[in-house]
Amino acid sequence: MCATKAPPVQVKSVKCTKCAAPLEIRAPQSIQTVACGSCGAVLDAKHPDLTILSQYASRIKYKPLIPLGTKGRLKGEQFMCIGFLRRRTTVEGVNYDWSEYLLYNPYKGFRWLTEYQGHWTSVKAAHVTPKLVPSSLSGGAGAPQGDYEVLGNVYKHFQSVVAQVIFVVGEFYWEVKVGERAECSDYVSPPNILSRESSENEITWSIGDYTTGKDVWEAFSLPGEPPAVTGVAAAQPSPHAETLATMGRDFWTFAAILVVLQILFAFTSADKKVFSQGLHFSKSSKAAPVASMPSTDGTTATTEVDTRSKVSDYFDIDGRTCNVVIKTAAAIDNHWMFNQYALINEKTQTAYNCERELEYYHGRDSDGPWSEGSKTDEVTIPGVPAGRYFVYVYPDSDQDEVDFSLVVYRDVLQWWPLFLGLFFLAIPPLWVKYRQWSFEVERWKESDHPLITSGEGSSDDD
Amino acid sequence: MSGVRGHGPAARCPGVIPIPSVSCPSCGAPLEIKTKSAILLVCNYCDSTLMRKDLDLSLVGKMAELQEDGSPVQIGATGTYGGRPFEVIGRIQLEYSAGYWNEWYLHYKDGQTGWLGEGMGQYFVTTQATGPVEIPPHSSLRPGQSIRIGKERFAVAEVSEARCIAGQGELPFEVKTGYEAPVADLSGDGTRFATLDYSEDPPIAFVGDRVEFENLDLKGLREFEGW
Repeated sequence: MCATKAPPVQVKSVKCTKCAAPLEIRAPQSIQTVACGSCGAVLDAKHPDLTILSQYASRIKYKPLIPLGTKGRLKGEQFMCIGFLRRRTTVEGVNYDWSEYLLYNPYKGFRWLTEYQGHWTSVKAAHVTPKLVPSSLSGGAGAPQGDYEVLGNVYKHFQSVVAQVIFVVGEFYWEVKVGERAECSDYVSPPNILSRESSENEITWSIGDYTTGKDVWEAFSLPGEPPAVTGVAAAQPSPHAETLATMGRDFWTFAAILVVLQILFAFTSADKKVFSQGLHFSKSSKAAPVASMPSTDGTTATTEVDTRSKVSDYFDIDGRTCNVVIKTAAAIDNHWMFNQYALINEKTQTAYNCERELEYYHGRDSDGPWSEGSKTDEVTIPGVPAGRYFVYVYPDSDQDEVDFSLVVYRDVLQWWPLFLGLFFLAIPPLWVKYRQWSFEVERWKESDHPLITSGEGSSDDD
Repeated sequence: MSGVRGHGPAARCPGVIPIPSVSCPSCGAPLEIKTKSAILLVCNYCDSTLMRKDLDLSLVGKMAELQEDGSPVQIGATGTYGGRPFEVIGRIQLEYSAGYWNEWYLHYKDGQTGWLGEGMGQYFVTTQATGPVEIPPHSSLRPGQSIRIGKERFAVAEVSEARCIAGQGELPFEVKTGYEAPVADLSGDGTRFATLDYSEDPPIAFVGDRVEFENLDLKGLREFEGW
């Protein structure tokens, strides 16, 4: 029992009322107007005689890259291209033109594909009302109403322009007119773009997805190559975003490994005090031959070759081969001390040499008390095997007499390998971060809110 | 984009009482009445418009012809909204400056009724707002204006004039062909949506959601050549 069931809807072949060119009506009854590609007449599709609604005389004829009547599958949904518009906005005397393709599916309604400089966007009416949220840009020109939120995504105001229709061919669900103007505002949350078009008695919202020319070519099985891409589009997803995300993940993974290693070292390091001794430096006790390092020939080296050079008592270092830290504390007050050290293995005579300068100055000036330098110092000698050792010191100072002390530690936890590791780990992500930022600069260049204002620098007035 | 759905018991009438089968007083064809709230019936066979009073049907006249509008929905189609299955049992066709629009009368399996507004591939499921609604006059409406319906806040999205073309099937009130209806569409939070219908005094509000085609699970739709 299907008396109410309507017969299938069929494609209609008609002739242009003006120039008699053959026209196909592919979405009969769903559309309002048909624009003839041959003569530029806009016909009333609702009227049985296809009366002429308007006539445009465009000197330039634009050829749609997706021929009208082409069927394709976009994101799994079948659509047919039924209309083509060329629109323009003029900013500071420069024309910016883009193409819009109207797609139709009798059940799912209409979609758009827009193309600007080789960048494509697949657009549909927003079925969720965008929610106004405070703008991320403080008082930027052109964003009087702030940003919008749709399904948890914040769309940042990109630009507001007046768009004008400059060319039209095919079928449309409204009464399309060449020269028709509409206020359009775009908000971006790559790869999505939210657009608001407003006229006197209507506000329409649509949401677009950035699409590559390749995807469009595949969807509609078009011959040849899609038009070349120029610049960065408003909704174009950053190619660096994903790299940055993986790099970020890698950074944190390796940083965590370093921290875990550091914790392990912290637990295993003995941090053992193996020796300490107080020493005295006296300039007056200077004697003839200035001691050079090897002169301390071991065994009972407490014999003073040069009274100025000091030799510590023997001490034992045990455990695995690892670092030794020599801490120096000197009684210097507005003076300096310069010590040459050699940590010497009694048996092998292997010497680990280093030089340390200590200085400590303080005083008071117009800004109050100040101080610089320190009375203490520490030096790390890596890779010292177990054995019996002593320290040879050759001190110098601008003071005649200085009391100083040496404390030797074994197997001390070191922090610098961790920090150095983190530093090197951070270099690649920081580099990509910079690339990402450059990409965003490029994206926002043509918006109402460029990240870098070129020259005039007057875009951010209050 | 709806309207002219007039008053009437409309929405919430549980149709648990079985309705006896009747036949068209004009051509004798069998008629099936699905809701207790049915007031108007258009005979599928002879386009006779029948008014229902209790169990009697009286012939009112011939219904005006529907216009071909390319809608994929038709009477007898079924679907689901919010997990509740429904059947399309009636239709009001409207004309706007921007094209045709249909309000399909839905009969839910649970006995309730509602509306499916449809046009240009957009779908809206609504029911008549209960309780008093304070609605500003049509002439004062501006896009963006805020309007409260019940506890919800809406913003005016589109203000337009509609004309009723014809009715079809079973409807909860009398359809006035050619009746002018000033209407307004409002959008609320998320998918929330409302229509104000000024064809009655006081105006009526219908409240519901904007729904995507995929989420209605519509079956028994019209066929399109090549699709």
